[in-house]
Amino acid sequence: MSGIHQFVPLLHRWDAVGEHVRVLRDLLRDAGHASDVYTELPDPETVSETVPYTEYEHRAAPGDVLVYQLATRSAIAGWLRTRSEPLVVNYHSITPPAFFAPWSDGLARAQVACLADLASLAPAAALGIAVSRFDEAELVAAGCPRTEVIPVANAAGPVAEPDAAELARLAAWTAGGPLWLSVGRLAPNKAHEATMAALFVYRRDVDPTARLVVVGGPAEPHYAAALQRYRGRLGLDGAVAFRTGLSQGQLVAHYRAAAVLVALSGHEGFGVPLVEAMRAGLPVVALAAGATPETLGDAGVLLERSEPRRVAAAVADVLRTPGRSAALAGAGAAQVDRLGVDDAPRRLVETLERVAEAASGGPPPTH
Amino acid sequence: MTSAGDQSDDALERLLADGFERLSPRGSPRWITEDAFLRLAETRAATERLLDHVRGMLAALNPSADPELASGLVRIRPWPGLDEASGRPSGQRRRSGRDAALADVADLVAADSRAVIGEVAAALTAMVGGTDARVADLAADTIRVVSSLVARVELLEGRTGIVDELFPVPPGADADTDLSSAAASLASWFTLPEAGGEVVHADVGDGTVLRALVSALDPGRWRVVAGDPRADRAAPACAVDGGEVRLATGAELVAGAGRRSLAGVVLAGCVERVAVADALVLVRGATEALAPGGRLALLVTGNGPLAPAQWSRALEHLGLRDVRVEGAGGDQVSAVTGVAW
Repeated sequence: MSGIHQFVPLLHRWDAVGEHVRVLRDLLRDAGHASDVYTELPDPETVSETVPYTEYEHRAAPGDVLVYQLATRSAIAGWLRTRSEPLVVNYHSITPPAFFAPWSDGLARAQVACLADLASLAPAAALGIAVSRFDEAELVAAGCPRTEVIPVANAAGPVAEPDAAELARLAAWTAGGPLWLSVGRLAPNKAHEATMAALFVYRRDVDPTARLVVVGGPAEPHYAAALQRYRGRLGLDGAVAFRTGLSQGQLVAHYRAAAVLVALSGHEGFGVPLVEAMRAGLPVVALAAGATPETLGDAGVLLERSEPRRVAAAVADVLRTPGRSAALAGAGAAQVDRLGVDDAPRRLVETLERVAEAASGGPPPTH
Repeated sequence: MTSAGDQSDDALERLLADGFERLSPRGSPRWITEDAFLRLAETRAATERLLDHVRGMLAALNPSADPELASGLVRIRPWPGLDEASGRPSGQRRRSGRDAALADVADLVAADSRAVIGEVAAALTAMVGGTDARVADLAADTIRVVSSLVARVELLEGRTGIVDELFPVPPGADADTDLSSAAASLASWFTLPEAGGEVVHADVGDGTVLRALVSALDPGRWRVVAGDPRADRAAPACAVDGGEVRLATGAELVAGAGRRSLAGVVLAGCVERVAVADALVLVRGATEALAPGGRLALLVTGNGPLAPAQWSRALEHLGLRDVRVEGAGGDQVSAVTGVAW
């Protein structure tokens, strides 16, 4: 049986792409394939699970399929162009450089280079797998000859049980006030500052007991530091908490304890937190940007802009209109079904197996 | 048609948005220095890839290459001093400075980068010619260049003032002082017939002084920019028609203005909430920002680290003229004023 190996710049824990890679690797192994994860750089937390990509040269086997998880710049892209094995580009969206430019020219330059990686790899790929139709359009624009849309593997159920201690801690912290939740790395495109500004207005005009937890690790240090300073300037030191490194049970506890997920990201390729919130029956107020409208459907409040008053008013409408939260929660469950996230693992494995069969002279991949 | 309330809310939203954008480090000495080192690292990586390519070409052309030459090629590591320089304790590179130094830092980095690239190119040319004497020199040269670069950056930083991260608002600093009596006389002090320009007002509080200033000063000739580092304190001032309110510390407001550019600076309270040394840095920055004839006013209660009379001497020491103290003293607000030459 052919090997189906994944290549990713870094394998992070608690990261959307990293968790997707780990889940997909386990699925492929369960299906009987040799499947390793090759990286450009080791992450101390996952180094025992990965192999330097330069070693693939010595481990390559006939019939192998190489899957590149493309979201950030990597030397792997240039190396893959020289390989003769069938290539699948699993595309997770590239955050536009403009988001990073005010914070890190280095990261902005890396994103520019990543767009160049996409442009050079997409035309050579046997298949492009996009996690949303939004991302598929970018793959097609980059010249990918054959594409398919399959959500990420790690959004599939079942949902973990909430951590009881975390639930109790959150209940004590919020003291009965409404809890806003924002989930996403501390990266400029996530616009956590817009959520904090909206909370400031909401506490001033609607409910001074409202609080916010931002769950996500720092992806850009200057931006993360600015968020901390901004919290102080808004007088929200006691009302906004930053959390990272949560277990699945602790994360689920946040979804259970929260009254609303506020997602004002300016660019999303899919939006795993949206799915997690919909599964938890948590209403969502989100900015209609990137793939968010596609992922959220009619199961949340979509805003065209994210000015603080507009967001605060939308949250107030959700939380204070009788029946509104429950209606959105019901719509969320249906939207998760429509997205087909639970079916994504099976589809991913079958799709990759078809690429392997086609490469070995079997039936061609179907669309 | 928009109401006064809408305009006030619009001003608040601008304050919130601008307040975050100003926290971006872009353009600060620290940011530029870090970016310069990053660019050096990127260029080094590119140079190393080029060297790998050259090594491969030479090996392919002449598998039995001169062992000494091959050894020299292996030894080449562009800019070996870079790791040490980049890894210095952040305190040695994080102190901020004035904009005037920034272009110098960037120019130095660019110039030194060009010099290093030139050296690498020259060395490669020499090697291909069969001489590897330059190889060892190259390593030493690059160490010297990068060390020199670090020294220059630190020299420039050492000459500049500290601006960022000063003056946090301490807990319990929310109580507003009654400035109503001082505000009117202060505003009238600015209304000279021939005067005009930009007045910066730090620690705007509830907007009492801002309101007095914008009502006394002709908007055709004057612009008043007020700021407060706390949104809950600055928000009420957004309702003052004619004023511009920012989410910013006094230090940031002053640093945002050019040297000798302001018609006036009003520092209300912020000089009393910090250590004397920090307060003096702020006041010195304010005096340097004043245009000739520009006016500085400190609104102090005497409950801070310095009494009004001491502030008066401080302003004279900083080179202001016509320094006066007006006010009842004690717990009442006093205005310590001076004029720039």
